[in-house]
Amino acid sequence: MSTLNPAHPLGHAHSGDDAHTHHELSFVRKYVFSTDHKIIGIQFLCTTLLMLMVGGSLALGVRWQLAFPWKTMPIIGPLLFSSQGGVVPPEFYTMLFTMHATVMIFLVIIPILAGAFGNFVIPLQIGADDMAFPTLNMLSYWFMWPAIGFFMSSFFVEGGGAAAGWTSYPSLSAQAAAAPGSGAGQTLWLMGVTFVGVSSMMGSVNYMTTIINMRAPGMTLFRMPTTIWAMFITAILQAFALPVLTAAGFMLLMDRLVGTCFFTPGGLIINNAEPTVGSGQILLWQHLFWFYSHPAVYIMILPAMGMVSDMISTFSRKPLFGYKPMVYSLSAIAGLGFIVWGHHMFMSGMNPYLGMTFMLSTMMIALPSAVKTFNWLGTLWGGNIQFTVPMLNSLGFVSMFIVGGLSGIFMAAVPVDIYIHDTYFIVAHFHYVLFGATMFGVFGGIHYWFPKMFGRMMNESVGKVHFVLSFIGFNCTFFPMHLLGVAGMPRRLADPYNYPYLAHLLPMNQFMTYSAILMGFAQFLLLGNFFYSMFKGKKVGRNPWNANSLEWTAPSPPGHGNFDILPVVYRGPYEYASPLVEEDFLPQTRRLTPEQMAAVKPPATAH
Amino acid sequence: MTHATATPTLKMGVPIPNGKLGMWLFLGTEIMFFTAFIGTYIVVRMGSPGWPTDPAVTHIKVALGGINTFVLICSSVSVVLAHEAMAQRNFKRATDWIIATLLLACVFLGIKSVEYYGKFDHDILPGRIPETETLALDKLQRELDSAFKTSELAVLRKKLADWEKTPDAETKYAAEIKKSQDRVTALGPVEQSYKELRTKIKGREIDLHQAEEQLTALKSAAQNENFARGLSSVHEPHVILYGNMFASSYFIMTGFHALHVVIGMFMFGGIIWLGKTQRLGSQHGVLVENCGLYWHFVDLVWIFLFPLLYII
Repeated sequence: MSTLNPAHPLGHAHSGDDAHTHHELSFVRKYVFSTDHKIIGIQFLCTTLLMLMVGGSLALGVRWQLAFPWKTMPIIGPLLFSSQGGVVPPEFYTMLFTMHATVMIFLVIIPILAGAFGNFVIPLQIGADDMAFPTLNMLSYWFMWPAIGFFMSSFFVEGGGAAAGWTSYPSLSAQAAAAPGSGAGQTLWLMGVTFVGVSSMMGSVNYMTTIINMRAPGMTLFRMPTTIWAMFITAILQAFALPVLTAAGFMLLMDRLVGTCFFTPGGLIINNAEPTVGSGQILLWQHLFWFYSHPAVYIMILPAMGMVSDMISTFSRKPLFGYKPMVYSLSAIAGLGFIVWGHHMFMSGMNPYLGMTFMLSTMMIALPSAVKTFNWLGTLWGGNIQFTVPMLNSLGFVSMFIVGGLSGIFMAAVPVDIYIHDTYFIVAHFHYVLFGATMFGVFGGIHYWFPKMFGRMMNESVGKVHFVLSFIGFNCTFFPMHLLGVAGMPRRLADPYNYPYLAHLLPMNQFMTYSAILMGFAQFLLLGNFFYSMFKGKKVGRNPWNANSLEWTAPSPPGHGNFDILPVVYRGPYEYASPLVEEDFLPQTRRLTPEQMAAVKPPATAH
Repeated sequence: MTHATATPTLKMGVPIPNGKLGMWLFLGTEIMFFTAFIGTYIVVRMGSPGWPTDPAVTHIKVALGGINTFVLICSSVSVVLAHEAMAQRNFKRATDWIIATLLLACVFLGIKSVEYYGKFDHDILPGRIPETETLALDKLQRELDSAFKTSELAVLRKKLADWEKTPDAETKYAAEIKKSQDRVTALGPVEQSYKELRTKIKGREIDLHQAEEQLTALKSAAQNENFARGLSSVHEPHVILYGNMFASSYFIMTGFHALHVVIGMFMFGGIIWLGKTQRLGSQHGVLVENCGLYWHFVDLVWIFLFPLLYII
């Protein structure tokens, strides 16, 4: 350990001692208030999987209403709205989709990528014994729970949960009288977002410090696996974009609670409430919100890109095609991600010249994205492909990312966006990217690192069935949304069939709902497989996938302090099918003698 | 870490301790946090057709702000001297300089609360500032009503009404009833002038200037008669155009800055506690340095806020 943390003149960095001096911890310290990055990662993973089911149930509520408008909603209907024959009211529908997005974004995707995988994988892949600040790490997990508490309790206050969409635009979110969900539910929503923000901020500072300063000897920046690069760049995005949302959230909270007027123009009379005072600007919220939330879109996919690059290289048994371009394109996506937030606001009113700027910068993101896709395909090309569950899910990631990425270019174009903005085309696009791409990457990651987490394999056959059902269910649910969008079906309407030009879309919506139910139930396979394999799965050794990166040299599961043999890194993580060794993989820690290095000459190129 | 010297070490990354690196990165996130507020201020101020800048109206005290700037700069110096003393392993002197820093922070907050008091006293608070004459008269009317409802007169009237309902009160509390009735009679003229003022305001028979004069007259009459403690809660009706936006920006920025000052004071308190219990040692070098870094940041934020809020 001490090699990673040499004694400093000022006497800092004693974390390295832990591995030598640690004694048996109590159950609470070991599994509940643990400071071990692996336990915290698994805590994040279990919590987010639970939240995935909550968010999924909310989504099924939305789908039910769209397929069978004003029919008794199963379970929820008789339970909450028995006086109305189990039919949910329109304001409950708006709350359903608002909270679906809130739960999925703030409590599932962001924490499962950064919190679960970031925590578990970063120290293992860079060869550190733990995170730089273990206590801060624990706090970042436990700050999630107040947020979960606020979001969940908002369902039970008067007026119900927030219903202004996950974007919470004023005046709907600023004036308590604006709608039923604009009352206490919106206040709780803002407090929840603040806690999520603090949690992410603590996590990101920790990840950046760990990756910069705690790498194993020899682990230069360009020997880091792409997962680490992606986590690093994501942490930068999180650290420097998220405080803006936190500040904006405070301002909106103050507008609601103490009478400031940042987002409230004067003289507005909403639902016969007292006229508003002040001279605030409604659009300002949208700018501040998207200044964070557009980078957040990349926070929600870059880690998955990194993880998928690792998995594709491992299971193609080939070096990652274009490692450095992969890193540069990650950085380019992140950098451009900071300056394109305005493309969410083409319909909110904008100087046309500014719209042009945002349009061009947004379209430029297609270039690094295309580089990445090309390199994934280049890695697969001619590889000795192993169709394991992580690989299948990674292939799902790449194909769904292509669909979602291409539809993104449509929306970047101002004239096209003006037609499809706020239609189901947008809903199709971001579900292809967030669910189709990120969640398949996450499913792959769960299967890939599961043996390292618990020392056991997940069941391959169940994993394959889960992948196939999810993939089919996903595409049947979301692909038709493109068609709905082009047909002009708006988002966020409880009953679009009121409009004659949309009435014929009902059967297609019913098909989508059936597919969504199939996809939803397929997730029980994942959960069952996950918890069953945790205790009953086939036991495995250190390196079940014959992969190269450092985590596979640690025991499965790694003990406190991670590595029994201190890793020293000699090469990058993608040396598969190397001519230098017999095996088709060459771990980062394996030291080759000069004779071995010289034994195999690079094959002569034919001329 | 004794064996660390025995094995050759190869430290990857930057040659500073994790704690210091983490603090720098944290301050980066803090910069973005305050940037959001400062950016908001620039946007709303530039987007506003006007802005209250007259110190007589806004109760912005440039001199107090200037003194506070100086106080914070001095505290930045003292925290550097504490760090210097730590490097020289003179922990007693380091503790003393941290105490000096903490005292300067207290001075800053003291001056800040004087400024806040002036704003609260004149009701220059977000959401409470009338921006037109109509709104000012509305507010005056509301405040007069609520003051009258809680005034001595209202209390006496309620007591008398209660006694009337009680069967044998007339004999039981005769003296008190007499006293109360006398008091009500004595307060009659004040009540009359209150009612007149209220009617005039309601009917918009007088303008804001006259209303203010009559309010002052009423207040002095009321004081003579020891009437209506509540009248002191009635604010002089001042119109500040765009004042709510001004007050919103002022309070959110100085408020979050003051919160950071308080957090810094707790950090200094921790160091002083270590120093006073003789436990401050060279292992706390990074801690003191990190507190110093944080404190410089708090100082720097103020150096931006002072010209933005006080001078421009």
